[in-house]
Amino acid sequence: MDKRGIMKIIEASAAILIIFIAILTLSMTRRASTEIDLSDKITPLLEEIAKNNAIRDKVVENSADVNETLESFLSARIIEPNIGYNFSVCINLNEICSMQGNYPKDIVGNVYAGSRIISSSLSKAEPKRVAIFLWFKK
Amino acid sequence: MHKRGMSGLEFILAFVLFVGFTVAALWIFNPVGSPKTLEYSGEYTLKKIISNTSVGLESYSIAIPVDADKILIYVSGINSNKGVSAVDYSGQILSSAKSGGGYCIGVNNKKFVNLYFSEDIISGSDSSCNSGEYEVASSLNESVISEKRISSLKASYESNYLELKNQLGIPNEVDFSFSLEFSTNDKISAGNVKSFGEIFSKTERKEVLRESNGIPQFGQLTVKVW
Repeated sequence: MDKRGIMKIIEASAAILIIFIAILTLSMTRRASTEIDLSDKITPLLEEIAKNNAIRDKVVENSADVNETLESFLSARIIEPNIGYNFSVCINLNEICSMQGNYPKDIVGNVYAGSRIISSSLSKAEPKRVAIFLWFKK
Repeated sequence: MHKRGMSGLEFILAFVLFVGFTVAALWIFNPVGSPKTLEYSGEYTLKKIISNTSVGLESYSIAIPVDADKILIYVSGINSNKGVSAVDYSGQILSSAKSGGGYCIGVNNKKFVNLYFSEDIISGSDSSCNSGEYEVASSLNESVISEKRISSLKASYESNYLELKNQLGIPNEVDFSFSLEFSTNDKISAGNVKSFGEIFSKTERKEVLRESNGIPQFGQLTVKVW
């Protein structure tokens, strides 16, 4: 029996398979390098905080549970398990409002930040800056 | 032994392998519906849904220095076809109705109320209000998504999907579904994903004018395309 033809088909198939795997690997690597801009998510969150009078009062009065309130607000809205977040309430508006606590170690790519000044509540006008930080987690 | 029939079998086998690889390559790389094309289609569809379901919302903050059960408030420049809704400082809904050229608000001794005016708010009328002391503290004009229009879009999606796609200018080869979620038990959704291939999903947090009470509330608008 002449098996030369079958052998050639197997060789050609192996060659196509190798090229196919190489292209697939290249395509997957390219796709992973694009990063989604998270700053679009921050603005509506700050807008919602500004329109919520209960949170406004706590921010302006710098109440003891303001961090707990903001934590619970953000945890209910940032539900994606691969997105990490942090926030700060800063009293001094002239200084940079940086992230509270330690800088997170599980960051992939950039940290996106946005802030908004909450100037007054119904009974008090003591402006504070609320900053939100978002990033992709490993 | 040399079998002449083998050359035909080899040819068929080679052809089947070639077609198999070509189909697999086209299915995986999908040159027609590339992820970038799908991303653009998703962003376009989301933008079209937002623009087709948005409505103007005028908000006024009113300070009321004296106690009153109900008060007649006049706000200049509000179109007469717009309804009114009202909340107090903590977000509690107050009774509100049209009254002549003004608005009768059940302020219930509250010192601060927010009034919302929109063509998608349905208001009754109440002539039992008397004029009282009040001051307009601030005003805001914005565009928000209307829950009423989202429900109408859902009805169009379910009754004539192809015509809706045509109206929104979505290409024939792209399919979409959408949902507006306020909480796990409070959501409006239209369509299900019917694809084993790549799916693009985009979510935006938007302010929505609720149909039941005419009060704005934030919700998650999600669009999926495939």
